[in-house]
Amino acid sequence: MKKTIRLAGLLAVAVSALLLTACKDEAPVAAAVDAAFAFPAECATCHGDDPEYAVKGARAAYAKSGHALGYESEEANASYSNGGGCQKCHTHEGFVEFVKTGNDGSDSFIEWPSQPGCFTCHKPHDTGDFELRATAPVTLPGGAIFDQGSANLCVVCHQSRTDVKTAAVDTPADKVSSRFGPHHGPQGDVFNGTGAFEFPGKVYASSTHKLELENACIDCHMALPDGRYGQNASIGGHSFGMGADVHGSEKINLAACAGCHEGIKMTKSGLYDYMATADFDHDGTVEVAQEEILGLFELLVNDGNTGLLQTMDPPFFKADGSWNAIKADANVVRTALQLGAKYNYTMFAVEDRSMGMHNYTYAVQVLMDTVASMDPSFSTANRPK
Amino acid sequence: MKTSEKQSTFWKPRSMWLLGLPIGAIVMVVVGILATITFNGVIHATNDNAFCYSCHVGMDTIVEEYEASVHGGANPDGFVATCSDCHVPKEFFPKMLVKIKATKDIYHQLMGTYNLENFESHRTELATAVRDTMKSRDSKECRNCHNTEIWDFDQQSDKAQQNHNQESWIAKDKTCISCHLGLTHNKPR
Repeated sequence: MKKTIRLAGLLAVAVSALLLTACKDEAPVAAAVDAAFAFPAECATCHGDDPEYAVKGARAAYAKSGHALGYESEEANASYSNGGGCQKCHTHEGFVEFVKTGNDGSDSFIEWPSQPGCFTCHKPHDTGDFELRATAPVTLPGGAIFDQGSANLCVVCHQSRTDVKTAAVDTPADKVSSRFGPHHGPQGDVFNGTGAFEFPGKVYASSTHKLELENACIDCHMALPDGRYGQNASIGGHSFGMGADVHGSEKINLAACAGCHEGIKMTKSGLYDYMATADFDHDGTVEVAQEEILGLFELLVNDGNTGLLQTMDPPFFKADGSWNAIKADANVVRTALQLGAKYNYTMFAVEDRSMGMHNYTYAVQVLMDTVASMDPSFSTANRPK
Repeated sequence: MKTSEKQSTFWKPRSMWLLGLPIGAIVMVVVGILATITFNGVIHATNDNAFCYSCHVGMDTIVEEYEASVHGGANPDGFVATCSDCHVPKEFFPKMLVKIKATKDIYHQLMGTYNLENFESHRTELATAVRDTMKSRDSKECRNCHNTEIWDFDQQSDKAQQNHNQESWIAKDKTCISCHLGLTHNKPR
């Protein structure tokens, strides 16, 4: 009987040992299967039913953005702007390469270029929180430092590619291109209060926006408007749009402004209804801030061909508004001041496109000085300090 | 030596030495009064515009900017707010803290850190530091004169009335200097 009990006991121990060994071997297999096929909780925070990041909504807005559609939504340009260093900003692949290595690809091109997309700006899975690819302060072409939080990423591209101090020098007129100016998006320079042609003896300043909007571009362009039209994918968020046609009428994004400018509205002409502090364009009326800037533009170039850049001798623009291309003539030289005026007009009126909103103080100062440099009778007594 | 002799030596000084006590007390009081007068005089003198001007005139352009501003007297009433009205707290300890911190300016003055040639390149960092200090005090020095509790909103423009919604300020963490930067001195870049 005792032998039977001992045998049964040994058998039980042996079976238990076998079972335990089997379990020990199966556990990693099960974990590996889970890791391979299960939906990790970290992913669900972004991609699940109740996402932390509204990926679908962001994608819908992105599809309406200049990043997806190209300049002024006319044409996606990743293929066109591929080579000569342009791919650094106009293609996803070029941007990622530039941020990683500093190589702008000026002596190569991207084989399969694609538009800047989600993962151009975001590193989706490095830390699981869609962190931005670039956050370091940016040195602008003139040497100034742009350091505005998350907007540092934007200004990797949204900056002038020209240092005006070396570009605006006395030059034979036939060597001056119609494109003379900052290329293409000098918004970072303007916001920073640097990069324009600055006139000797003048002191320049920045709008309060520069200090109050710590994330610069992001604070306004990604602000989501309140109310129903906040649902419009073309305004705010990843569209970066500040205005759009909503249900047949023009709307502009007022959400970011209202943080300081309580109750701000839109004018009938689609501008921000915020009065300027003085009649900067000297048309006899103190208008909303953007109208004053438009008035200063018109003093330089206008439809009636009476602008200072159209009536100088020889003019930059012909009577029909087209570029006055001057053939080789040793006697015709564009002076540094003339080129500075052309640079500033192109910078603010053609390229920046905020009508002064990116840095109102700097824009008014530079434009008033530009007008005064070409028309000594133009008073700068009310130039903002 | 007998005990009584010891006591007479130690406990019974000559009567002329006993005068030391009242004289000492009087001296202490006088010194205290003089120290208080001197202290207040120094605080008062270092709050005076003339004291600020002694360094800032010729070193930078902030005095000229201030004198041409509303706070410097360019207003219909000719009212002038002094440098210290805006830059030095009225309360004792915050005021002392500012005075102590300001002693570093002596070093910069001696070393010539800032001058007319390089001032503009330093303006942003200097103006930002002052702005940050004013923000941290919820623009207390502005409010010493511009008491929001007694404002007459009817005297303000529509734009000012909208922007001076104080509930909105608090909700959005804004204070006077958030918007009114560059009111007296030129704005930084």
